[in-house]
Amino acid sequence: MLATLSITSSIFITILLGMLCGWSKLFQRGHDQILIKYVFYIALPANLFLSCYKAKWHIFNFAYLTSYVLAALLIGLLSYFLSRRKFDSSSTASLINSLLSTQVGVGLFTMPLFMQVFKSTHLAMPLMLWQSVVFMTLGIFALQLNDTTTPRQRNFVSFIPLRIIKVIFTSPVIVLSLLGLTLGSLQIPIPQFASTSAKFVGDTLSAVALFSLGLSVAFNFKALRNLRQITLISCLSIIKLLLFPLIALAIGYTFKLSAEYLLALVLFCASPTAAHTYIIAKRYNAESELATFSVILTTILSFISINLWLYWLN
Amino acid sequence: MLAIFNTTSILFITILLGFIAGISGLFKRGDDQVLINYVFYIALPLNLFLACYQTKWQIFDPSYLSSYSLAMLVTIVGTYFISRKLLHAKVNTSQINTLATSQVDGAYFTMPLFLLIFKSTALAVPLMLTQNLVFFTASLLLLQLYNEQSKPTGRYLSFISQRSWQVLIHNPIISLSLLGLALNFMQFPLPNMLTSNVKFIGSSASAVALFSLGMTCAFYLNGLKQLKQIIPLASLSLIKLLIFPLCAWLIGRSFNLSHELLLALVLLCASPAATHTYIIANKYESDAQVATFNVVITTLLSFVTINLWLYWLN
Repeated sequence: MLATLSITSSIFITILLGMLCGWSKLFQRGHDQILIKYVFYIALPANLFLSCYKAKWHIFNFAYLTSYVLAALLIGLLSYFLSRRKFDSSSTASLINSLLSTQVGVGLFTMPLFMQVFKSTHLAMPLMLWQSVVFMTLGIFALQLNDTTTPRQRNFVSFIPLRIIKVIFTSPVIVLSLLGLTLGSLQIPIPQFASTSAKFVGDTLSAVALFSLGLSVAFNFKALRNLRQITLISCLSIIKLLLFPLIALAIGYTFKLSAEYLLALVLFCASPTAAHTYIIAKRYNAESELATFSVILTTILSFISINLWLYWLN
Repeated sequence: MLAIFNTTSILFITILLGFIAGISGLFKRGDDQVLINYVFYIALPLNLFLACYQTKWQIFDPSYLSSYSLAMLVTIVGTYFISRKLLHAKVNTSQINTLATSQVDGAYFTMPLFLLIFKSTALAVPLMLTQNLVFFTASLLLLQLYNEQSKPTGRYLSFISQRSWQVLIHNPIISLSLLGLALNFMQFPLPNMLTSNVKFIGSSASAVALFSLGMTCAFYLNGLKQLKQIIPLASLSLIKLLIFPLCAWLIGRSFNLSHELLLALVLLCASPAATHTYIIANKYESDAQVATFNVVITTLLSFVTINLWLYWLN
């Protein structure tokens, strides 16, 4: 267990440092967003570009992707029905809840975790691409269908391809990952100074991402006292941190994934909830408070769950 | 020359990336301060703590320190007389000009440069300590003496001791460097987990520092068009980037410094002007515009000068 802790301690100590800096007011509310911007526009794209350049297209393992897709679909459906039947949530709130239990905070948590465990982020790339392009698009599409404020005359058929194109071409994380994969697969050499510079900037990803995650948690922590939906948030956290990775493990096992892919799949699914879900919840006027706390709670609890998963799978 | 360019290109590409991010409006004015805060309060103190903990006490070489102090004194006196006699500047402005040519931006340029060249920041520590504790305190005292609004009440000794104490306590870079040195001196063992965590966060210092320096340059570049004091600015930049390191090199050679210490001395002196000089210039209502642009110009020109110094000394 001590060996497992030595791998993950950097992650959780950096988050804790960020929380302390947020609580001590050394950093003000809003500063976390600037650091997150640095991660999403600079460090993460540079890191992924290099990882994907070295990894090439074989990371798109069919069994690996299918295991993830099946596990995410199962969890999404389960969360939706649990919210509707047991907690009598509205359909929009239930859709948000299914996003909360399936969407993973890739940039701020999973990538640093993969860097620590696998020394590279390339294994997270195909799952992240699928999550951002397919599941997120479908999630927003379903929310738009449900939303009464969205004009009905909108062409929903064109929405899906348009959003997919928008995500692929406007997200620097995805653009540079695909560029890296293409250049790597075509064996186009990149100059040494370009690759060393990309590594130099990309290597800052983990520390800055985790620190900013800690800051975000600290800034939203106080409001946790006012939360009343304890049962629902507990259920969502259990689904996110335990059930989702467990189902992924079971499916991955039946697909006979290698130990490395299986570990990557489980760690990806066991990562805390994505921070962008509360922005979506706010946009559709549904459970934005619950979404915020789900991010905080799963981040804090992941200290235990990630270590347990790593310990068990090693 | 190409080998040297390959080494330093990382530095300047990162500054350029920050510059582009600032010019393009991806980051707003003020965002650079958040990244600087991260470097100044979190990443760099930890990096220096570890560097000092792992270093040997030989870095406090009396010849190395004396060469630096003598070169500083010569540059300060030279700049002061050029300002007063040739540029006809006021006493206050001339004092600020001495800061602009002798104070080095340790955190945002020199430390990343040292990490790249020497794989450690340890060699910069004794010189940075001398700069911040001795020269900067003395300069502030002189500025206060000649400033009509803030003349001290006569207790100069208490001012010096108070300021030294203030620097030691409030500057995390210095306090953690000294803590690292103290633990090193006592041969106090640190747990492996702690050193790996400190390294994890500390290693992000260089890239974030250089990126934020590029952003700062971008935000101030527009104002450069309105600048009329071209001759003072050119003179100060020339002294900072060429005369000061040349002077240090000559003194260092006469002290028979080893090649490594001579290179470290010259590179530290050839680093761009410190960003804090324009804060001081603003405080004492002196020529803040020249001080600000001096930082921008010396940073941009250092791309040429640092490469030339490295090429010559190697």
